[in-house]
Amino acid sequence: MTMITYRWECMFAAVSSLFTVFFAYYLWRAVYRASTTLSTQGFEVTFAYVAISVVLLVTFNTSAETNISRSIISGDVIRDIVRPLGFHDSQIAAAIGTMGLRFLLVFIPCMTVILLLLPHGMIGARNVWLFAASLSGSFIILLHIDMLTGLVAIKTEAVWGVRLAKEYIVSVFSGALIPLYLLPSSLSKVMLLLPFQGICHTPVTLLTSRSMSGMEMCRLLGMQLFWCVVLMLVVNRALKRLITKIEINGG
Amino acid sequence: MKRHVQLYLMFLSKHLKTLMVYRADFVIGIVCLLLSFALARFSIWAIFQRTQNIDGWIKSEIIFAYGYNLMVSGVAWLFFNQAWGLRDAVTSGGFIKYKIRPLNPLFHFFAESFDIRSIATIALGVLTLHAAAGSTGFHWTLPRTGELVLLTLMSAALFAGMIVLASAMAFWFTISNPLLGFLASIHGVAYFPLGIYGRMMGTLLSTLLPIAFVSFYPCSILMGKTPSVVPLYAMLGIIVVLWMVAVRLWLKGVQRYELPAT
Amino acid sequence: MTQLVVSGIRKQYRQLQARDERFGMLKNIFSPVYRNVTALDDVSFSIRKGERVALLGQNGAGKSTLVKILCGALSPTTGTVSLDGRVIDRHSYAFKKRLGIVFGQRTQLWWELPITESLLALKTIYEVSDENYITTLKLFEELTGMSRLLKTPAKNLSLGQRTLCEILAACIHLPDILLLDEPTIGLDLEVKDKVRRLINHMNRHFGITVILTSHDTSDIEHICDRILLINAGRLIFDNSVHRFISEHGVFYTLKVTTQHDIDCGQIGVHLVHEGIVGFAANPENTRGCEITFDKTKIEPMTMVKKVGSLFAIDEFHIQGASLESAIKYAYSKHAVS
Repeated sequence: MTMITYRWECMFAAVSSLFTVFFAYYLWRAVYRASTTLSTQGFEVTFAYVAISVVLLVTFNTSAETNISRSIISGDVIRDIVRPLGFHDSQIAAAIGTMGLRFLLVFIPCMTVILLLLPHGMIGARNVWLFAASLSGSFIILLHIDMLTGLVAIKTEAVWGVRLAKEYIVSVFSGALIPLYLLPSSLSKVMLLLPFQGICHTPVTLLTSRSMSGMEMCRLLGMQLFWCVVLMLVVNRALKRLITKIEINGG
Repeated sequence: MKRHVQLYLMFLSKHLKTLMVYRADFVIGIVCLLLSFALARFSIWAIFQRTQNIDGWIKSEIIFAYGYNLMVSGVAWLFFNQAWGLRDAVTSGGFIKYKIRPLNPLFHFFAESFDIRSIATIALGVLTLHAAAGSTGFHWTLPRTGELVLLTLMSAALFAGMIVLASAMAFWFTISNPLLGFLASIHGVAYFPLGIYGRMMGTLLSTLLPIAFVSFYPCSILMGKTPSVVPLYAMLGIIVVLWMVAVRLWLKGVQRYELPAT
Repeated sequence: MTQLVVSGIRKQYRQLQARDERFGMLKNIFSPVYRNVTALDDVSFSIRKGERVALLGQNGAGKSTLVKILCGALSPTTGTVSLDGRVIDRHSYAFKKRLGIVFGQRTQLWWELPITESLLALKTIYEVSDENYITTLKLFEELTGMSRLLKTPAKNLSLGQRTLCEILAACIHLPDILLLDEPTIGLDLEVKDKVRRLINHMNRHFGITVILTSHDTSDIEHICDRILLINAGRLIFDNSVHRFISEHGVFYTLKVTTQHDIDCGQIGVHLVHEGIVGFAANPENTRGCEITFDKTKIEPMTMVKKVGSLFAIDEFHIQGASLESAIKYAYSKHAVS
């Protein structure tokens, strides 16, 4: 896709994620108003958590899955593979390029709006640094989950279905739909072990939590790093297998 | 009219035969679809672990509205799913086919695909709605069931009009698919009561972006939450106007459409 | 009988301009610059019923634009197209039913379904009578002997087989005019021959007017009797194929055989020295030579005499210009002017 058309897509993505941000605001306000078990002070944190999660998901949505699945289904993957730059590396490079524009046109405006909706002084300087540090991990995890989703095209052409399921899984398991801390604790314990929490829960918790021990921070970041490494290895393996499969079958 | 019904059935049979070619993919698609519903249903459950009502609507009322929402989107996408393909048809030049044939291009384009998966969505919607109906003001009496069917069709017609309008953008911009995605996503969360939104957003959703008429107002009527039938007339008016604008714009787009140079 | 009249057609496009400057791409994102491109300029011609017309032109000359205007998919900026004396309403179904269209690289068949299914669908769309439908299918079988193909899904056919089916699909409603845009692109010789036979037969049997674009000159030789040559959006030649060759076919070939071995290379050098444009080559052995020359510079008989003065000719044979060489010449002439 050319840059000129992509501009519109990005601006539109910003508008549509702002809508989701507002929706989250109203929904959680209603929930906190009606709830007898939740204290109303928690509303700001919950809103910030969900809204920023949504913005992260939109910003880091790089259409890597569409690129990969299209290239597999159309057979162009052979051309991509024979390029001097490795397939994995070139996909990452392309995704970073896309993300850059989205960062400019989606992340910055949406974050500005969210910060305006939040009470002054809610986020400390230390939080901002930790948040920024965890963003790259968040990006890598989501990108690699996308790549794996794209790779299902080897098995089926019903990529749309798999993609839909992936989108729901990511938004539920990352905390973007409902903050993980609001889920029943047995569930959230399991979800905190999965890779998805690294996409939204980790950076957003680092940004919004005011009283967090150093231990806890290290644990969150360590977990994120762990899943980054694991997913990169898995994708690398899968791509190598794809290449040998193509070499044997001739595409 | 008869000719168009005949043509539609012809296209439908072609489409079904095509689907049989991709049977395995179809099954995978349905499984993924069900998984998505399960997760959406899970989030309603999870929210109600923390609260007893949302703007006065209890859990089963929200689930009822969710079921209704599924039925409506199922019916709308069943007939208009091809909207997603318009951008590709336009940019690849494949759209020329619809311009050279002696058929109404809008009819021809949308008739060519029939989203069988949506039948699963509709069925799931009926089941969900039925499961929740017991604890709401809705009862399966004959007149109420008739009302449900009528309102579902009206809501679907309204939503479909919005889909057609959004897809028409493909002739001018390439954002038609993100626009459709946006439409699908705001409709996807439209089962919450309108009252949760502030006044500004609430007004927006009942006027410029009349999603509230696709879901909130008909559900309120069905569950006996409002005695007023004003929304019903408003719905009719919106459907007529929306479709007139959508069809005009779509056909104008077709006229304007020039093939990409080869 | 005049069937199709194109008068004064002009077509302009708006095109995004690439910026050749620093951050040009980035600037284009925020403030795109467009420029107007004229694809066709004052094109007029008329075609009689049953004619077989070739549209020629180099890539980007405006051929495809013209085809799209003729089939009603594109409206000209100015100018009109008339059919049987009436300006066409390009949206009218009656007009669309009179056309059959084959785009070499686009299919109008249902990709996953057997060809028959697509044909039946088109039969419904174009409201073809059972009688005509059966007649056309029979004819197809007679001409190609390939009606077994009709049970195969389009995606499983070879390109050539599919092209035959595309043409059949485009003719299933027996149109008045058949438009073909590069129908034989990428086909092997044998299938090309079948494609040409099919087109010719449709033309002769049903009187269907054929308008085709092709880069393959033998398509034109086998099918067409008239050439429209478009260069940079302008119609620069409109006459019979015969006339085209006599006007543009300036390169003749003289084939000679001798009793003794000769060195063609040296003869070639000699001729070029004398200012006669041409070259010489030994075809199979050293006892013969082929010399290509520009007949506007030297009379064929003078050429024979000249060669005869270089060595003793045993037999000679003069060949007129081929269509291909005529087209090449026409293009090069207009590229210069």
